[in-house]
Parts: sequence; C-alpha cells; structure tokens
Amino acid sequence: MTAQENGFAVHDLTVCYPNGVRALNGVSATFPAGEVTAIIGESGSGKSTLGQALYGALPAGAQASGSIRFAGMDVLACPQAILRTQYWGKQWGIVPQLPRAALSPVHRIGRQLADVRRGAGRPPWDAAAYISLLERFGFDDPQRILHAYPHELSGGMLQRVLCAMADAGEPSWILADEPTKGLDPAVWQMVAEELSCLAARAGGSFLLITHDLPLARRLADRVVVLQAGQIVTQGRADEAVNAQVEESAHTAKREVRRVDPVPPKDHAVLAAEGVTKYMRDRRSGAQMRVLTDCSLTVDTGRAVGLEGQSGAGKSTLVRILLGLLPTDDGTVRWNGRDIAALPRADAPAFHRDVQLVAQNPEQAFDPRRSIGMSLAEVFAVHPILLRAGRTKREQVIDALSAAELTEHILARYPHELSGGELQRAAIARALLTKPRILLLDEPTTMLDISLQAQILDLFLRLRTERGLGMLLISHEHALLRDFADTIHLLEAGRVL
Amino acid sequence: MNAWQRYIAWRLLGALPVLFGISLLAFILAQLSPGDPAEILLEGAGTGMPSDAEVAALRSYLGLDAPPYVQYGLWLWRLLHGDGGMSYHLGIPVFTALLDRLPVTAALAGAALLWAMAGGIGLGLLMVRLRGTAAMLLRGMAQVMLAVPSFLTAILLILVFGVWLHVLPTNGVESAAGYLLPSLALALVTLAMTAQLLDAHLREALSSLYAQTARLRGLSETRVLLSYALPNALVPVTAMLGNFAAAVLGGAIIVETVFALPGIGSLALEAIHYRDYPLLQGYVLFLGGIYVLVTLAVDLVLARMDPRIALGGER
Amino acid sequence: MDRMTGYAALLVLAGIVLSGIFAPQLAPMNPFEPNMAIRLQPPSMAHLLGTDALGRDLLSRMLYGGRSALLLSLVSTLLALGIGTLVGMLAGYFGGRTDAALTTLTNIFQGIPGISFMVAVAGFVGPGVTGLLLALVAGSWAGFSRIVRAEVMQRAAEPYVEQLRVLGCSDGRIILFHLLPALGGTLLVLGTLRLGRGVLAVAGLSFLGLGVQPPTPDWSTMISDAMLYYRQAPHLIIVPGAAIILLVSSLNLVGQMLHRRLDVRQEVRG
Repeated sequence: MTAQENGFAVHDLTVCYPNGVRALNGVSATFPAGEVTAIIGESGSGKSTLGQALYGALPAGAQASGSIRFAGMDVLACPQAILRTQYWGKQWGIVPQLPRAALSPVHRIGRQLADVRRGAGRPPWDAAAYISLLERFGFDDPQRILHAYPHELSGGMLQRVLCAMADAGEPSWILADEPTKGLDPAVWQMVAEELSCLAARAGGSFLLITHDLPLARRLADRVVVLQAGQIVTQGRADEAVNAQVEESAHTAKREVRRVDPVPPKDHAVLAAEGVTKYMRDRRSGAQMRVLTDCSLTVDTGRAVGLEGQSGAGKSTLVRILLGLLPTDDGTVRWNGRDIAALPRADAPAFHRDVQLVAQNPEQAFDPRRSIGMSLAEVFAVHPILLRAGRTKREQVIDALSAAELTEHILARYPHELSGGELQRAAIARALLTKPRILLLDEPTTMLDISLQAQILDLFLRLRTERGLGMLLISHEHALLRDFADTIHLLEAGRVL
Repeated sequence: MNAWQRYIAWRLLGALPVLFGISLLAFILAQLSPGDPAEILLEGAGTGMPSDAEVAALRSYLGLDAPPYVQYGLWLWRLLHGDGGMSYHLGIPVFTALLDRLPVTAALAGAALLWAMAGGIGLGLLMVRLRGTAAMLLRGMAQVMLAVPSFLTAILLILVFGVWLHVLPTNGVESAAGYLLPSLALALVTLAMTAQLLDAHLREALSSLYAQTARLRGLSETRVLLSYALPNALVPVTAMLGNFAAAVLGGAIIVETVFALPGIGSLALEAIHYRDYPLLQGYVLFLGGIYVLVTLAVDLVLARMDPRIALGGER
Repeated sequence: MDRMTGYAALLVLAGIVLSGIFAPQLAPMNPFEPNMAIRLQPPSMAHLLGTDALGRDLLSRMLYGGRSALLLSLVSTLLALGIGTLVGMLAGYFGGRTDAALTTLTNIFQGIPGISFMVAVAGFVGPGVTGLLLALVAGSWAGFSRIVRAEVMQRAAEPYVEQLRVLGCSDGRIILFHLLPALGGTLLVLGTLRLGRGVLAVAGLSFLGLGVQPPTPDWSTMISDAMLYYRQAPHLIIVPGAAIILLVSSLNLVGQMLHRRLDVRQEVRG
C-alpha cells in the first residue's frame, strides 16, 4: 500500500453537535502514512473533534457530513461493530487525553496493559514482555508499576504509562490527544522522547493533537492548523510554516512594560517573618515541613515576585499571609501588627487592606450569584465603604473600569463568562475594598497566552496609578522578571 | 499489627462511645414510656386487677423503685460482666432470649441479602443492556417494586404462592423453603433500589473516559460492561447493600409478624407489648452492635473493592 | 419519556393530595358509621368500592385513608431535614472536634437502622401519632445529616469560599447566604425522595398497630383489618394496597424528576 492509501484522507468534513455548535466546517486534509502530522489549534478550534472523527469515534448525536477515507474504507459510513473488531486497538492505537480519567481506577496497570493486548487481538504476553516494554519507556521499576493502581502514580507517570500502552497493541497508526497538557518541564521532556519513540515504532504514522507548539515543532513532519472549525494552514512543518503558525497564534501578545517603583501615597506593609508551617500529608499521615523560616516583605508601591515550582508551598504561604492559616512558628505583620493577635474589631480593616486575586477565575465566584450580586456583597460585609459619600453604584463602576470592564458584566453569571472576563471581575472585586496590598497567586496560569500579557499589563497600571504593593507568585521566571522589582525563590520550603 | 488490624481495632474502639450512647438512648426512652411493667405483668398473669401492694412488691423485686441513674448504672455494670439482665415477661436472661431467636433472623437476613444482591445486580445489568420497550418495562417494574410496603408484599406473596398456588409454605420455618417467601418480601424494595442505583452508576461508568478508551482499544461492549464498568459501579451499590444487611440483621419485624417466624423482630414486638425494658434495652444494644460490626465489614470490603479508599478515610 | 412519567406522577400526586384535603366534601358517605347489615359487599352502584367488615363505605374510607400517612410523612420529613441540615452543616463546615462530636451523635442515631428503631421508639412512647412522629424523625435525621455534611465539606473546600473569607465574610454569612442556598436543591430532592420512604414507614408501623389508631381510617390498618376476609372480599386488601403503591411511586417519581432537573442545573451553573 502506498503512503496515500494507508493514510487518512478527509474531504469536506462538517461536524455539528446537537446543541447547534458547528465544530468543523468543510475541512479537507490528508494524513499520509509514515508521517507525523500535528493538528494544532487553541481550545475550541475543533481539533479534538477532528481526531474523534478520524477514528469514527464522534460522540452520539453528532452529525457528520463529508467523507473520511482510510485504506479504501469510508470511516463515517462504517458501522461501529466493524470499527471495533477491525480497527480500534488493532490498526489504530491511541494515547488518550487526561491520563487519570482514561484509566479505570479499580484495576491495576498490569491488568489494563493486558487488556490492550486483548483488544488488539494479539496473543497475550508474559510478565517479562511487559517489563521490557516499560523499561523501553524509561521506567526504573516496572514491577511496581505493573502492580500499581492509577491513583498511586503521578500525572506524569500515568501519561508515560499511556504511551507504553499504545505501543503494547503494536498498531500501525497512533493518535495522541494533548499528551503534554499540564506537565512539568522535566516530565515533558520524557514524554516528548517517548512520543517520538512511539511514532518511530508505529512505522511513523502518527497523529498529534495539541496546542503545545514546541512539541509539534519537535515531532511533526506535517502540520494542520485549525481555528474555529476551519483549516488555516496545512503543509510541511518547515521553518516557514512554523513561523507563520506562531505568528497567527500570538497575534494578541503585547510587550509587557517595565515600571519604576512609584512612591506611594500612604504606606502599608505586609511582612512574613520566620514563618514555619507543618502540614499533615493526607496519605501517609506523616507531618511534613512545608515552609521553613520564610521571610518576605511587601510594601506599597513595590512589586515582589515569588517563584517556585508546584508543590513548593507557594499557596500555603499566601494563605498564611492572608491569615487563613495559622503559622507554627514565626509571625505575619501587617503594618507592624501581628495578624494572629488582631482584635476582632480590627480584622475587617485588615481584610480590606490586603486582597487576593487567585489562580482559578472560574471558581472565584459563587456560581449561584451574578457578578453584580457578588460585588454588592462586599458592601454588605464592609458597610464602612459606603460612609465616605460615594454610592455603591459609583464605586462598583469605578472598580469595573479600573479592571477594564463595562457595566453589562454585572447581570451575568460566572458560567456565562470567559476566563479572562472572570479574572478581571475578580480584580474589580478585590479593588472595591480599596486595598493597599494585592497578593496575586498565579493569576494568569489558567488563561490563554494572549490574555496573560493583558492582565499583567493591568496589574502594572494599577500599581502605577494607585501605588499598590503587589506580590506576584508564579512558576515562570520570565514573567516575574518582567514584572517584579525583587524576586524571591521558594524552594523546598525556604525563601531565598 | 498491620494496617488492616490496626484499622479494625481503631474502629471497634471508636464504636464504644456510640454503643454507650445507644444504650443510654434506649434507657431514656424506656423511662419516658407510659405503662408500668409490673402492672402489665400482673394483669397478664390473669388473676384480675392486681392490688397496689402486689404491684409495689413486684416493682421492688424488679428494682424499678431505684432512681433512674441507679437503674442505668446497675444495668451497665451488669452488662460489663456479660449479664444482660433478665427479661421480665420471659423470665430468662436477655442474652439467652436474643441468642435463641438469632438463627432464624440470621437465616432470613442471609436469604434476603442474596435476593437483593443477585436480583438487584441482575436486574440492573439487564436494565443497562436491553433497549427500547424491554428496558422500559423493567424500569417500570422496578419503580413499582420500590413503592410496595413490605407487609403488602408479604400478604400478596402469601396469597399467590401459599393460598392460590399452594406451592410454598407460609408459616413457620420447618423447612428451608419456608424462608423463600419471607426473605423475598423483605428484600424486594432493596432489590429494586439496588437495580436502579446500579443502572445509574453503570451508565455513568459506561460513558466515562476510561470506558470509551477501552472501546477504542478494541474491547467488546460486553467486556467493557462487565470488566470495567461493573467493578466501578458496584462500589456505591455495596455500600447500600451493607446498610440493608445491618437493617435486616436487626430483625425484620413486619415480615416476621406476617409469616409468624420466631425471630428477633417478633421478640422485640413482644417486649414492647410487655414493656419488658431489659429485653428492649438488650435488643437496642444488640442492634447497635450489629450496626457497628456490619458497617466495619462493609468498609473493609469497600476498601478492597476500590483501592482509592484509604482505610479510615474518604477518597 | 421520562419527562412524561414525571408529569404524570405529579398529576397523580396532586390528585391524591387534593382528594385527601377535600375528603369531607368528596366522600359520599360517613366513613365512621358501622352498618352490620351491609358488611363485606362487593363494588356496586350504591357503594362504588364496596363495604368493609363493619359495613362502612370503602370509597369514603379510602378518601380519608391517605391523609395521616401523607401528613405524618411530610411533617416528619421536614423536621428530620431541618435537624439533619443543622447538624450536617455544623459538622461539615467547622470540622475538627465539632465534627467528631456531631458525627458520634449521628452514628448513635444511625446505629439502629430503619424500621427496628422506629418500632422501638414507637413502642416505648406508646402507640399514636406523637410516638410515630418521634420515631420517624429520630430514625431519619441522621441519614440527612450525613449527606449534608459530605456536601458541605465538598462545597466549603471550593476556592470561592476561601475568596469570601479573604474578602472578610464571616462564617455565619458564608453558611447562611452561600452554602445553605447551594444545598437547597439537594435538600429538596432528598426530602421528596424521603417522603416516599416515610409513607412506607408509616404504613408499616400502622400495620403493626403502632401508628394511627382506630377509628381513624388509614390504608394500612384497613389492610391489616381485611386480612381475615381475604377470601370473601379480596378488594378490601387490593384497593388500599394499590393506593399505597400509587402514592409512594408518584412521590418517588416526582423526586427523581426533581433530581434530574437539579443535576442539569448544577452542570450548567458549575
């Protein structure tokens, strides 16, 4: 069979979902065998749908028109029974998304691996064969992995297990759906290695669905770029295509400006001194020292950065600074006063002065209340804000415009808004109490790249205009370098 | 001691305050209730209305004169020595009375559990596998089964199988077949609930990502259902069946009454009638003990079934 | 299809409730007066459902018969829900020692499962409505508390709750204005589902003689009275029995319909 015949040929494919959304609109593309093709696009571009369609695995209720040909067969017209007995798991392998959800929680890895062989219709392997498979994929302790349950392994390890599973079936085609989502840089390397290994073993016939451009650049021979259900570019993955791809994906990126520290109007300080914190690990029940002797200061008018990998204790420190968690040793001082010793009457003033913008904008608001109601609640909690003579409405509009939002957002509910809008609304809410210090816990990590720059810009502007003190927490050094005057590193529980 | 043994010990220890609370609750209820056991006993002896002196004498003999906390303290003290007190109306030790009736209740409970498990799981699987009218009929049947009170089921079963068809015994426990109808009457509602719960969870499991992945790996739908969906879906079902087991081991009062079975449930009913406090307290305590043991057993089973459940914690 | 059954069930339920409320107006004859001359008669033009062992019109007794079961189930469910929500909320939100103490309390009441407990309580306090009510509430609040606690623990761990604390919201405010409304849907579904079980429990207890006392007509006591005459007048068992089944299944179906509605809404709202 020629490369063309053993590949996928999509012609004028349109896919509609029952709720009226058109995921793909007249898409035509070829995926030749023996080549790694990357399907690239942002979320909502239709790339997952395209992958599902290629394998004939569209969800029930989806309407598809057009044709998808594979080795002389029309995938869309093929009944599921045939697909299951002849193609799925046999000629076509997958590395599914979301490793934790893609594995049955009550079965051991070894058992699920054996099922891959069974599904592939290939003779069962003995234990040694599985062990060598796992060794080939860089696992140090294959025996333990085989006996383990999915919840005992980390996300990164599970992703690699899925890669190994795809190989166990010895398919001639592999489809990998977002294999590097949410991975740490170190694990990313390993997975990328394994994916290229996998591609080589499958005779090079590989479909990669991703929005991770570096991965595509590393693995792909060909590239198909989707945007809003239509193909924007497709062709060989040479330099020109790459550059164009990057440009179209980053049209909204702007430069982040450096700002000089501004002398504040009135001074406030939030400082952690020698903070130590122990927490109990849920599984083993052992006490762990999460933070050791941490000290850091945030002054109005200055921006402090805190860098650290996930799990280093950043969120814990933030909670301690906000007074949500007690310290085991050391104190947090707000304008010199120990917040743990604050009399009850003064607590509201502290809350007004120090505010938080957190990581998950989708979860920052009570889903049952409109944004307007959530913002209005701030006044119910701090009636003192209404005494200065400005109405509720005026203050809300002020805060909204500072966050670059308009009034129409007040009537909306959280689930109706995008991540970017929600984050701005969260910023507006934080500004309502007229804080002098803002703690920003990874405020842009969950947002699309194009929005990250905008939000950071916003913070910088707020800092200049209002002389706010800010603590920005992130795991990206580049971000902090552009933003902060001082950067602290949080590593293994210590601040450096 | 390994983790399992430690967990069991910790659970049993933790159960002590609960059992204590239960016994106290039973005692308080007894004190609150109207009717004087001495009077009732004497009236029941059939020699006409007892005189005040006779009642007073019996009360004194039974220790009913002492203040409540003394009565409770005494009862607790005796209990810790393995003495559950004497039943007023039976005249035998409470524990003996309970143990005498235990085999019948245990057999009934075991049979009911089997019905609920086999019937419930089977029906649930069918409900998921079949389509169209057949599935709808099964669902409708389950709905109706859920709505029938156990005494009605019992009566209907007696009418159909015992009286009209004359195939099964409806009274007493001479043979094993005598347990067939009562256990079914007991189990029917739980059978239907199990089937519905399993149906719902199987559907959820079948539409999960791991089930879809299994399909895309080429496994047959039957295998996906039985091998992947079922073990995952059985976990909440097991929890429910565990509750059921604890409930029926405590005696199926209604079913025992209708079928005239000498189990612990009918013993409790007698105790209520005679205001036989020691027996009632022993019964309540027994129920508490059963609950503790059964929930412990269920939790152990659940931990085996779902490796994510750490012993002693939630997922 | 499911939706239609749900609405049909709602209709049936409304019918039963209304006929119970308006029983005095609807009943053709006095349900209390015995008339030994016309006892155990099959359905006829004069008595649409026949007469019972004491010559009383069955139809009239049927109209009155569902009242106590439904009312008792409703009141006991509301009370149990109230207590269960309070305990569960406090345990789930504050955790720690409060949780441990309240959970032990819950365990004590849950340690005596279902009917057995209810019989014991009713037996202790004596037959009649008060005992029944006490029994029903005592036997069911613990189940609610457990579920509420689990849900409160889950919701209180959501990031927006933490945000509210950062904004300065007090615990009381969070509980009353945020957690309680969020529970509203669940409570409604739990309550409705429980109503069906409550009716079954009342029926069982009444059958044993521990519940509603004569001469108040009640479907379950009507069945226990009719057991002796199953040969001559099987309709005396079948009609009340069918009524109980109809009432409980319509309650269950309505509860399930609410459950589905709630799930959909939760998926949308997040």
